[in-house]
Amino acid sequence: MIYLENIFIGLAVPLIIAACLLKGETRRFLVFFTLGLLTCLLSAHINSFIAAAVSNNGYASLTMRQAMAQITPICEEIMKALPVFFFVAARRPGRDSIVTASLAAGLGFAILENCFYIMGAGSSDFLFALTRGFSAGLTHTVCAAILGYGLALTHWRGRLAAPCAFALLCMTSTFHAIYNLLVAADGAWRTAGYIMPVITAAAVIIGMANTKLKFK
Amino acid sequence: MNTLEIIDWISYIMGAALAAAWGSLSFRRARKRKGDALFFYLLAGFYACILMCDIYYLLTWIVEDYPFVLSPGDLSWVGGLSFLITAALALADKWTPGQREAAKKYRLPALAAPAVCIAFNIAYITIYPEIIVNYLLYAVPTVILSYFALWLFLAEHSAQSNMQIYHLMVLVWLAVQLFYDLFSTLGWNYSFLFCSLLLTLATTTIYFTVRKEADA
Repeated sequence: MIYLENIFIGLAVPLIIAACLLKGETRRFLVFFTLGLLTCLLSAHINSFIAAAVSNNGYASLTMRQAMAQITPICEEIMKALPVFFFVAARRPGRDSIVTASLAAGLGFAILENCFYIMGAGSSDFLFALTRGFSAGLTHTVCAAILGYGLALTHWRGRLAAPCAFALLCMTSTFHAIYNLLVAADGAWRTAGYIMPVITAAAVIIGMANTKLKFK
Repeated sequence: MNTLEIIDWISYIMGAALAAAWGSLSFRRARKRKGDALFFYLLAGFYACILMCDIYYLLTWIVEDYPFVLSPGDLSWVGGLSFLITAALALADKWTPGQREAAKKYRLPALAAPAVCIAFNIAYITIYPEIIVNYLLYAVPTVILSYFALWLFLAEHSAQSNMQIYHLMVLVWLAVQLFYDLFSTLGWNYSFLFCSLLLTLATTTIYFTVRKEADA
């Protein structure tokens, strides 16, 4: 059995100390990275709780695979977005800061999740580690990028920010759900699931290359 | 799921994918010309949400053999509607104080649209009460969007603005969706091709209108 809390402590303590020593954007990156780790830990518990609660309340036919495709993505994306939403609402940061915060939270989340799964698989399977890095890792990063760039475009437009933030959250949840649905299937569908985040990440990188987040 | 249904789904997905790609390219083009790119971004987001919703449902049908009653696909649809609500708010923000004052008199007549939406939703719930959560989930953003669409349409129509066509197409799209849901509830499941054709037509009109307005 792997205790995710112990991995979290091992990763978070040096990051928190480093964040105390640094300033500016670097500190912000480390803080949100740590918050990403924390949200991963919390969402793991919440996912287990919801899956158990749902299967005990008239949805007994809900399998683990279905729970993974339906409950997990929504829960994880909400948890991952919460620190960024609070940051945007409370501090009114600049556009670059929002993108940094969102990406850092996504990376933190992806890293703790990958640690858990790779250690669970015995950590000697190179192919599994590579696949996790390029699929699940990239999925969280792409979702964080979509959320960060999207928020950066609308947060300064007053009343537009809230519906747009909700829409982005829905979008990232569905993207994550499609990925989970595909990787939970067999054969070609699973391969498609592994390839999907790579293609989307490439599209996001090309699309946002030389982007000036400036609007009239 | 039979072949005709799959073709219908794919045609709808193709329509939404083309629309999302068109929106993204228009977004980039408008940004390069330092124009108002936000609206194209919101439209691209709307079509991306529709696209992901359809992909999720199709995959669920193919991979899992049956669609889930309430799933992230529904959330994506709601996200798409939220993007359109954001777009409506963005357009209302552009009004001059004089236009805003003139638009006030259309607030009451615009309530007709939400009233029709609520009537349709009551019909769905009466016919098929098992999925009341889905109908409520769809009803809230549909009601809000229909109000804004009709209000903005009436206001822009009186001002002889090009954007009245955009609001009209949003109303047409909502009406198609309401009728599609009614047909589905009554068991007529072969209307996706019809929807995809309307989606493509609506998209073409929307983009030409918005581009014309942006160029002006």
